[in-house]
Amino acid sequence: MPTLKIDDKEITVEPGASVLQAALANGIEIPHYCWHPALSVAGSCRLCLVEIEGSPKLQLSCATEARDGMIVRTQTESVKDARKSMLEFFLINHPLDCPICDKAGECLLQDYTWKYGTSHSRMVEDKRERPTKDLGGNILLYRNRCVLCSRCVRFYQEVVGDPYLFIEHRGYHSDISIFPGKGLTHKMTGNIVEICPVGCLIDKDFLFHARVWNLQRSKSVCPGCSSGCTIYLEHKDRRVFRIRNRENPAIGQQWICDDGRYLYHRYENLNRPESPWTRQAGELKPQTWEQAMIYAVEALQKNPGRLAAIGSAFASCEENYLMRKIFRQILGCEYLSFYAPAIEEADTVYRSGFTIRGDKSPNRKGAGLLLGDQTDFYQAIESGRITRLFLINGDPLLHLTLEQKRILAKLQELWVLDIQSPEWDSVAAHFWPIACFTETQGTFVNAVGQVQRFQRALQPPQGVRPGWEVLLDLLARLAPGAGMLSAADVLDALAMEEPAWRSISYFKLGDQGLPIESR
Amino acid sequence: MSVKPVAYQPHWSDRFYLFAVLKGMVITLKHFFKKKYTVQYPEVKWPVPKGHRGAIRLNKDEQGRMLCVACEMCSTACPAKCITMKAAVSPWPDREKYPLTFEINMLRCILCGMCQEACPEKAIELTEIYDFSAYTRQDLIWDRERLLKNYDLTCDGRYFERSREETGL
Repeated sequence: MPTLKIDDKEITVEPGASVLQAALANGIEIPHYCWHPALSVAGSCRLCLVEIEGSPKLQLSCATEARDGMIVRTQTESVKDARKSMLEFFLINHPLDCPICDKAGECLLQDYTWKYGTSHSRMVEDKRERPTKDLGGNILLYRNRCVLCSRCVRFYQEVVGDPYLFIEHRGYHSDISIFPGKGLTHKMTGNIVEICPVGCLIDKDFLFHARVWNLQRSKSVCPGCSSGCTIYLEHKDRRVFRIRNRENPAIGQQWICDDGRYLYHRYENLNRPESPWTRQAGELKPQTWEQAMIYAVEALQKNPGRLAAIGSAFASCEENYLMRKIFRQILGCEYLSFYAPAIEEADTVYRSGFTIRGDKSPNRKGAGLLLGDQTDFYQAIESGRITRLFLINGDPLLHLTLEQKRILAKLQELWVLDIQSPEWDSVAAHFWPIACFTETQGTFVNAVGQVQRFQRALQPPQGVRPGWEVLLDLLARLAPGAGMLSAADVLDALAMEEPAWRSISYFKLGDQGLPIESR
Repeated sequence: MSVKPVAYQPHWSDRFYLFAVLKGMVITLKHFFKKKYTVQYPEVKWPVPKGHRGAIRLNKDEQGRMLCVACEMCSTACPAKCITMKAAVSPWPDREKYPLTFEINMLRCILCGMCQEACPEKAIELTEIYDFSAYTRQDLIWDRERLLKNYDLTCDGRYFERSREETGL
């Protein structure tokens, strides 16, 4: 393992690491544009120059391998001068339209110019002007702002494995361009907006919607497929504005796909009742939560009939666990299962190993571990095995076929906990509105068995409660003294009971999550 | 310390009162011919000195379009957080972004002028309008049109010559 000295600090790194990686891993900042941890080394931006003892000229820290006994300096006059000059070059044709640029606030050109650059330009000629290009999909190319780091070009070659973009012409005329006849219409486009160090690639979905410094970030997990990519929900004024990638080395998913990136739109404009409702003489009558609970506690215990409970692959582990606890342990139901959509497509694997799963539910594995195998409960209703049903769902795309509605109508009593009601208006006897994934917290188990925590970003609308809170309330009324008050308590109780969760607790999970133990 | 009470014994001329009344009348008469300081507000308004930080306006360019590009520098600089806006793609070819809605909550505004300092387009300015009271709170949440109207009232520097009907204030 080579040991080198950067700015008088002894650093030991893995063999093969570059000087830049060694410095960044030890909290020494070296400005860089073209180098990205997930991409190959290009060495095109010339900003990461450092002084290495024994070399007559400044060296690129991204392309120089760390060797034993190397002495590197990043703060000498010549290094500072080189950075200053490079930044001046970057800015000669840059339009400096930061006030209307969506990248402002998280732009590396802004940050580095502020830290290492000059406050004025010596450029007296007119700036070169190039019109903005629409690359298709959600991507706009602001060609004036480009610094030609080629991150986007390499992203397509190395991660997607299908070159879409290339650098056209040479020297002063260099320009990012798209191969003729191609448009950015595949599922990875949003990532190039994120890796672009300047405001050259801009997302139309977020265009002019908010300034980034006004957004709040919440750590969450994408519910779009069973990969369970970790994400940031960026929100303001009780609305999600965009979803950003939150890297999680533990699950090996370095990017997020466009399905996940724009998924928050599914949760906007849901048709949500403001309180629970119940069907009385064929009409939907609103109730308070208190009334709904009191009725349910009595009805679940006393009404005759064969009761069953259906969890969901869209509900968190906590909610599925509470379903099991209430209906198996307290009410003694025999039939427990869960809802999950049918798997209609194969997994898509990209060149870098990034996978979009065909299973479009976030918690199929967790629900399966807690509630047993997924069985066809419609058949059980048809055959008369189930006459009363308590069902939780969280899938915004759920659509009941006429056949399914016909079968559900046979039930004597149907409780539904869901984020929106239209599908259930004709079949449910009782509907309880619960919060969607942006408004609640919990854990999902992804396809490879990683338990990951998602935080609450928004407040649920008036009258809507998180699913775990509703079920916990029901549990406390059916069997007082469970001693659970929060989602964290529920997960800890779950971990005590279930062997697969043995090594997990809410606070141990952290940002990356923990794997469940395989039986 | 001991206090010795003394009875008030006015002079005969004071007790006569007529001299005191005449003295007062002389003073009134002097002021009658001096420069007058009272102003017949609100028909006439006292012009404030240049640089007064009053009500906010949104400036327009020569073609009558607002200058604002919705960069939110003003709302970022605002210590009272009274400026909110919603940006959109501009309908004009010479710029990309413009404010679809622009709202200043004058109930919260402290008239500090930070927005004016922060603006890169000189699109927001404080004016000489100081009497912008209203009957409801809602009337003091000014939208884009209200702020542009302030520009029309003050752009020629003749705000104080305008009639009440014209200013609406």
